[in-house]
Amino acid sequence: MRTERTHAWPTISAAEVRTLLLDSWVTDGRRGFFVDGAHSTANPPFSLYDTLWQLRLCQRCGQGTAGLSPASVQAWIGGALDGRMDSSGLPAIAQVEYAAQTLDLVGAPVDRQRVARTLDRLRRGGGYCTSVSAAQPDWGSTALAVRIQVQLGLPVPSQVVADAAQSLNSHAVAPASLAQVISLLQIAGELGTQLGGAVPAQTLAGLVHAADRTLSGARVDAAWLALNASLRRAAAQLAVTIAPVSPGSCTQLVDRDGSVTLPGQPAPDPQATFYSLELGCRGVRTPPLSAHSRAGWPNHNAVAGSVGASAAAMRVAREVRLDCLFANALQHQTREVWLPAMQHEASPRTVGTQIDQVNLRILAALIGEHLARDVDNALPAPAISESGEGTNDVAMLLDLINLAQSSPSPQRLTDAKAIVTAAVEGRGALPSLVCAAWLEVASQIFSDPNLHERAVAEARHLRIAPGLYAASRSTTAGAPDASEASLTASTIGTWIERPTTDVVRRWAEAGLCTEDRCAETAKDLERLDSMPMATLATVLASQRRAYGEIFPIAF
Amino acid sequence: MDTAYNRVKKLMRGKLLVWAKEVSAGVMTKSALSEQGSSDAANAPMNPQLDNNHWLHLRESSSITPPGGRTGEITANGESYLQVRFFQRNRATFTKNSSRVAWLGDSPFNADKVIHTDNWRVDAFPGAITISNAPDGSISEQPGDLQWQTEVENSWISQHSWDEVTFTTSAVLYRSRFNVTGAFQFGSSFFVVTARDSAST
Repeated sequence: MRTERTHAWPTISAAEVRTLLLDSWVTDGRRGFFVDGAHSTANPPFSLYDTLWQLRLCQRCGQGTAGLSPASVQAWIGGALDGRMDSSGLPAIAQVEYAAQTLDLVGAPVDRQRVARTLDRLRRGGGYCTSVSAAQPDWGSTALAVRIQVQLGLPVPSQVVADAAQSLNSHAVAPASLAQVISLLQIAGELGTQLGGAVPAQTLAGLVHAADRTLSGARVDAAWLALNASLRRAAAQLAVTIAPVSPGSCTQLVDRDGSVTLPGQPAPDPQATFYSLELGCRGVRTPPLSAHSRAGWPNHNAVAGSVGASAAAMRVAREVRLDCLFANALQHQTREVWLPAMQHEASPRTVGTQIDQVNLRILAALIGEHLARDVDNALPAPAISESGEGTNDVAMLLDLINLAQSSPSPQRLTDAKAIVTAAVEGRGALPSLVCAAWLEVASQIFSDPNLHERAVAEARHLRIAPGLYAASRSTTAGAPDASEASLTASTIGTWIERPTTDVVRRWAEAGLCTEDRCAETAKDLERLDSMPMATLATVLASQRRAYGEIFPIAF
Repeated sequence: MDTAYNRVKKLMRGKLLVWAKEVSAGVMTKSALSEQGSSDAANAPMNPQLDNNHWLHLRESSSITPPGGRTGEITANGESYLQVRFFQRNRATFTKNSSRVAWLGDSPFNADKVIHTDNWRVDAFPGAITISNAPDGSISEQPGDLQWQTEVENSWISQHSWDEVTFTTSAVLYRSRFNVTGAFQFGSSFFVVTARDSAST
């Protein structure tokens, strides 16, 4: 049960920060980037599927654990042990099995009781379901459950053993039931002597050979690979000899580069490639190791957000003097991946593309002058949009940050100042912290104290207490109250007003922070189990009271 | 408040179609799905002066008969019409959401299970995000993120259809994503494929 911790504030040690940075660092040896949420168990940035199958490929090909650290994997994989990592796309039973196998492969302990509780929830009599909402148990899920129980030394319920034995004794192999039969043979292979002679050896051998004959006449595809590999493993456990798969029978699945790619997928499928290697398909080779962190292989959503995460993480890395460790690989990533992609996608101009560019500029500036100059040359800051309308405060802010981080000509500055002046004069009455932010950025670009005063005035309308602000208001009447507190607004307000107070403590009192994290709102704090790199960078700088450094960090 | 009336209304407005082979034989076949191109959705009207609307097309498996003539096995695809008004970029509505994941191989003809996950996700600056009109059974594990997962037994296809999901913030929503994932069970093995598309607004 969650305890009331509204007055505790983040106390994150330098060691914890270093651990998080290293767990979040994804690299292929040359290039690298950071991902957000490496210690989140609810929505981690790592792919359960890729991590297990890449690890199995590594193990098979003598590459060990590819540098994965047991503690780093444990930090995110726990949700799958509970069968609650829906973001993986896998059902609960597969999540548990994948997580248990992954932990085993990297040499980390598996919480047996936690797994047992999850399996209990999935059990229906003598079988197991894919998920708690499944209508009935199936032998494939039961085979996974039994494999986990045997691996962890958990007892296999006697009803499961009895039902499997009964089914094995009565099963005939037909193409439609092939997967079920192979699953039953896997259960028999895992149970070994636990079956206690309930199924005669010749029955098991007969089923193995019948399944092999059925498979040999089937069309070769991904399911064929999986079923063949499963059958051969079960046969080996049952000491039944069957002929190996002919190397030429599955060669049509192998790509020119020696891997197996599922149709329409952008990268080789590690599971299909693993099975092809195990079965000895002609032409298949171990693919080169793809980019991963010491915690696992990243998922697509994490990669999509990696520019912003990397800009923020470099600020975090500076706090613990680790930035030099990552700069070179980030420079390669910027020049070889992100910059070409952004040049390609430069139009149409949207807030999204502006944010990508701002994040890349912030990152480049942190890495070094040369890279910052190259990014500026490749992505010249666009002219400032002529609009001061409501939601376009964000566009104005991004335009001005872009301008501040580039080397504009005197004419560009003159034009920009004219647009800013017009936008200031055209401001409505409703205050906005984003507007305050662009006023402050403009005051710095044009060295204009009047604009700073306007920014301060705007921020004061939204100040709840020193260091605590609301993002905007729909009325000019009265002052905002604590329930409207926003972490982003409080960051911007603090950056503009530079209070003397300990703002992190203030944020904690307002319910925006607890011992190990902060969130945009008090409600978000209840739901999140980690904080993004940008928030961590803000908190660390704020704890040093370096309020001039807390905006902009990354978007 | 999620009253009984609202729940019934939701169920009537959105519909979940899960097609078993037997049911869908007259409606959609594997070959028909494999030949399916872009829908007429791409021709829908758009007014760039007033909106930032986009069709999101998830076509990871468009080339399901790759060079070499091997039969495509697995597909995930879908579409959604994303509506973001130019002067109201605090609200993103994914409308006409449709997605399907399918096993197109024939040995076996059906997967033991098809687990189908739709994921809608938006990024905002700054501020909190609220979600409305979410499908029953969907979950939000982090702000701006919604997952809808269903599963069907002994089938080659699963299809989702949902009229609209809306994400709202007090600030600006600047990127919207729609991902569709299919996990296909064959005995004790699972294959996973994902199709994705996104739009900056």
